[in-house]
Amino acid sequence: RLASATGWADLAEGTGRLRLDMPRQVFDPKALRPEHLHGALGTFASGVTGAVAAEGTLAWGPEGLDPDLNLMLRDLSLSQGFVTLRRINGVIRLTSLDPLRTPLGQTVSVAAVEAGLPLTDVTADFQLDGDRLHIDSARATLADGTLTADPASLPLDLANGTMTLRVRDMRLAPLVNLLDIEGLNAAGALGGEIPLRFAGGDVVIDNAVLRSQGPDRVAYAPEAPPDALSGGGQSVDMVMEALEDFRYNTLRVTVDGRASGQLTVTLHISGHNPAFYDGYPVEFNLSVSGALAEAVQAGLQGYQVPDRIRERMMNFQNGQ
Amino acid sequence: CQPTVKVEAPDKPIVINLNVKIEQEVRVKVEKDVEDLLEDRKDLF
Amino acid sequence: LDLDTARAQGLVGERYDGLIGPVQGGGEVQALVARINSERMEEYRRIAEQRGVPVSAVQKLVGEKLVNNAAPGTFVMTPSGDWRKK
Repeated sequence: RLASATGWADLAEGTGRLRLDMPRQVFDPKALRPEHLHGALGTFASGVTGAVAAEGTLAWGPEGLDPDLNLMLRDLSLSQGFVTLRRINGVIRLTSLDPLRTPLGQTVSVAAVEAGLPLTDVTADFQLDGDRLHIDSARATLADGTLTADPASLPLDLANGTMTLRVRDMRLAPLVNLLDIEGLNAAGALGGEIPLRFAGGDVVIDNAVLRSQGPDRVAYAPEAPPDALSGGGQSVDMVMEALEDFRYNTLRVTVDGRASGQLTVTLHISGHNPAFYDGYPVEFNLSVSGALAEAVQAGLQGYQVPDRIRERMMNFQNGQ
Repeated sequence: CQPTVKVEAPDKPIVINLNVKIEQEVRVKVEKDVEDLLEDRKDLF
Repeated sequence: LDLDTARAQGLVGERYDGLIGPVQGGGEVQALVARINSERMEEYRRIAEQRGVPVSAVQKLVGEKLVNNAAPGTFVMTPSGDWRKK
């Protein structure tokens, strides 16, 4: 049963009002797809799984259709180009079906957004307007640090558009864990901006720069020194000695690359090791490149939908 | 005159570079699968 | 409306994420884009799971092939996101 409706229709006047109720429908790329419910959705999302349900009213008159529907999203996952959203939850209100439109202030939570960077615990306030998405505000976590997004307006097919993520005191230790470099420990916190540029479904990060917010310490003591280590002519063990207990005064992290391919994260550290040539100045540039976005899938088991969104989903169900 | 050798603390720091590539080679098999797909599913491509 | 005609008439174009995008609107175009893309994504996911690579890697591979060998006169999306006629 796709949906049930009760109400009245005055054929002479061409007016009417229906109360609609669509019980939970489960999406599966091999069976029910979003475009089966609404034509346009197929072009904006692929590989859709998870469930939706809807309830509300559909009135019509001479000026046309006037829907007021609540749509519940439950653990919806979808991809658009190289961006993947995992487990979207929330209740959004639709006030127009063709084009699709919501009022301001819709809120959803997303367990993970893979857009080159593995963003987790995302919440976003937005408005859907035909084929555009207006994001009023969004928060996300990256390596245990909190990011906030400036307001942005994007085409739903992510063909173009930009968005800036602001980073405030993101601790270095978890970020370094994300890079998975054996023997590297870093203390301190970073701040700065990550500009995202959308292009044909891809996410391009052009030279994002995060800076340390004060002097701190880095220690790099791997079991076996990697052969890629080059110290400008110095022997490897001398280089290792320098990095064993490194007090940096400035540390810069740059991020460059595309969601569809490589992402390169480089740590530029300058400082000294008091026990190395009595504090002779040293600069250490560590660059790591690879597909970082896959690191997040494992961590989703413990994900909890934020309370205020879960509450709205409860009310939706009680109403249905 | 006697050339004097002055030892000043050189200001140029020692620069250490380390480039790590998280290996993710697109295996040849994937290339072949893609070719087969483009062949088998002409209706889609 | 089938894919070849839609491409030849410039209604849809190839994107380098291995999917097609609507160059012009319209219900029929949207239905074609939705059907083709979802079946393509299913194939990409099958290959990705089989070979243990991210789906995006398969998408990128197919996208490059399709954009490079797109027939002259058909549309392809440039890396900066605009439609260009080959």
